[in-house]
Amino acid sequence: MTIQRQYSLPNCTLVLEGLGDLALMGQADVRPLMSVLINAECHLPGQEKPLSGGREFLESLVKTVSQYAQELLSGVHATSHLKHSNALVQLAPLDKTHHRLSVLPEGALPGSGIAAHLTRNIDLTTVQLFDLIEAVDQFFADTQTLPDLALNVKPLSRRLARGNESASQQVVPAALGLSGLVLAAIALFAIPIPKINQPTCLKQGDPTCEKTTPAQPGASPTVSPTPTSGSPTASPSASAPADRPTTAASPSGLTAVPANAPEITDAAELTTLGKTLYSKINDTWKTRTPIQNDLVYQVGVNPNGEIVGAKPINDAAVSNIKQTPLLDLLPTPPGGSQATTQPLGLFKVVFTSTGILDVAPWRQAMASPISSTPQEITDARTIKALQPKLYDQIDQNWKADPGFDKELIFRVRVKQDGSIFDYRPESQSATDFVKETPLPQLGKPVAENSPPSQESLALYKVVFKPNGVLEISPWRGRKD
Amino acid sequence: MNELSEPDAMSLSVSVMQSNEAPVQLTPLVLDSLPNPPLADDVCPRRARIQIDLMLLAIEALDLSGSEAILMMVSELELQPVIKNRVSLWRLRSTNPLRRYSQRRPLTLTEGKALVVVGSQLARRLTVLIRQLLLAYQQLEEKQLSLEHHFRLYEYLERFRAHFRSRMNPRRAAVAAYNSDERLDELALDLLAKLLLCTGTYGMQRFWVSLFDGEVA
Repeated sequence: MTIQRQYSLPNCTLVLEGLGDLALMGQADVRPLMSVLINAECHLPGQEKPLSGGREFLESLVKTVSQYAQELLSGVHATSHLKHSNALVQLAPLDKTHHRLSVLPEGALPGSGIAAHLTRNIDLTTVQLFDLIEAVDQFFADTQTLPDLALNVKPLSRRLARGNESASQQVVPAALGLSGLVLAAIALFAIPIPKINQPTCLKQGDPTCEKTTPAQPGASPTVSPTPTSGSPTASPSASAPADRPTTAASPSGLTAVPANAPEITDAAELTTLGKTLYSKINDTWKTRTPIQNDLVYQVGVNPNGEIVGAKPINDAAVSNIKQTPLLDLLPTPPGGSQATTQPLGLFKVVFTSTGILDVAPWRQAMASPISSTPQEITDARTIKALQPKLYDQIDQNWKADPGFDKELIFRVRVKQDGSIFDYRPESQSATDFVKETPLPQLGKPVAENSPPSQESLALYKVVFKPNGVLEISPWRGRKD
Repeated sequence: MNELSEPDAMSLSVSVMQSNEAPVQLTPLVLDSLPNPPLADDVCPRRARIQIDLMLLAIEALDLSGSEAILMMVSELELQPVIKNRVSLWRLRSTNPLRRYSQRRPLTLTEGKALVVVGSQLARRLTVLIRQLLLAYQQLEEKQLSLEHHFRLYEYLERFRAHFRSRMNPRRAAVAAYNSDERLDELALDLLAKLLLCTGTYGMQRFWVSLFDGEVA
């Protein structure tokens, strides 16, 4: 006896046909249990023929629809999404009001020409999509039909979340993020770029060598400093080791980016290479253990998308190289002289402390004016832009109820990236109650007689009021 | 949206066309239908606090008597043990860090659940309107007409902008990002689509769980 179940909504009808459980047959059940699926059909508007398939199709449909609904609600996308590219049913946003449902033919090799030819694409409006989700939910709620398929929602783990929110919601924050990147780039320029360390692996029997690439005498010429400004003009120099201060003891184990290779500048090609590089690193970056600082590298990629060299840009990047998959992705033995003849795409690759990967073309990331002399930031726009960042930081961390009855006034100096450099109480009550503010955890007290800062800093007046109000203003007053 | 738009049709939970929760079970069991996410502490993370408050803000922009409706739904669902009165409702919503008078107190999971249940139930009542507005938006987009061309949609957007601007703290970076009508309209339309998802059979569960995406280990 076949059983048919139908879930009807204005824009979507899901029809399931299956068999009941023989053991339970004959019981006077009004709605017998359907335990085996024969065929599933999904009728959608504008489709002469319904989407149909067996158990595999239905499972993929409900899973994809479920996941997509959650993504729409949270705006958080799963990194594993890329890996589901061979799922039978797929959903992706098309524009502000449409979503594309794609159904791959069963049995065809994903990515093959046949699969591409036979894939059915159905564009759904948000309301139509909702009806599809609702049909699936009603099927989930129906305990008499395939009870093994039921609602199974759980939050995406931090590890799997790609960390960006839905495009429609986050257009502006994305722009803010971009400006943040520029600010970071400015800040990076103020920091002297660490030189590549002489690989200690050159010494025989060095215990630190065991897990890194085998030492090769031929490797040393490739360990040449890449020009800091991104213009490859410097040439590998034999005397380099002498003027390279080996600040960190650990070997980087990295192959430097060949300095004299022609650089790829075509924007479209860089975009493609950047995407390849992103997925390559993102897929192999498994550990994602919390790290103190962002790890910043300059990575060179040949036109085939293969990584030919990488260079740590900050200190954390030198010491934490094993936290990243870069060593595994680099060619072994290090790409020698033949690699330098190929043009290279240079990228800035950042492994953020929160477990997010960021890849951007190097020149784009670094194309910002150099501030040569460290000084106070006086540019009104920068001061204005940094102020909300400072506000958010302090506000979010100010959790305790105020236990003071006078205003606490501080002078706070802020770095280009918006983080707090130091602070100084400006009133007696501020000195007394500094521990009630989040400042000690966000920055350090100003150091007397300290050498002038290497970075440009913006000055703000921060006032904590007894009624819980936080007030921040530029130290030297507003200029606009 | 035949059955779903009528809350009365949900009373018996046997048929598949109806919601899985009967009004009889609504408190405090209604909160039990939302799972506890595996968090280190039992409080709603930042994004959850923002999203919950914004969802209620969108409901208020849809329904002129929205803030009264929220309180009535609280008593209808017998959630007063969690949300006692207007002031405590305001306190809970003000845990949204974007608010002008943001409260420096956590939002517990129970409180968060109560707000989500109330919001989802109100969204269900507004299902017909929400569908109409989304349909209108899509048609305007297709015809490349501006949003003023649909009176009811425009009214919603205008009210949402007014609510947002009067209650959110413009000094916050996340609020400053919505400094134009266009951006606020985008946010309002995004919330409208989310509200629609909340009206579904498992919409409330889906919305609740989505609040913790990327927040659990």
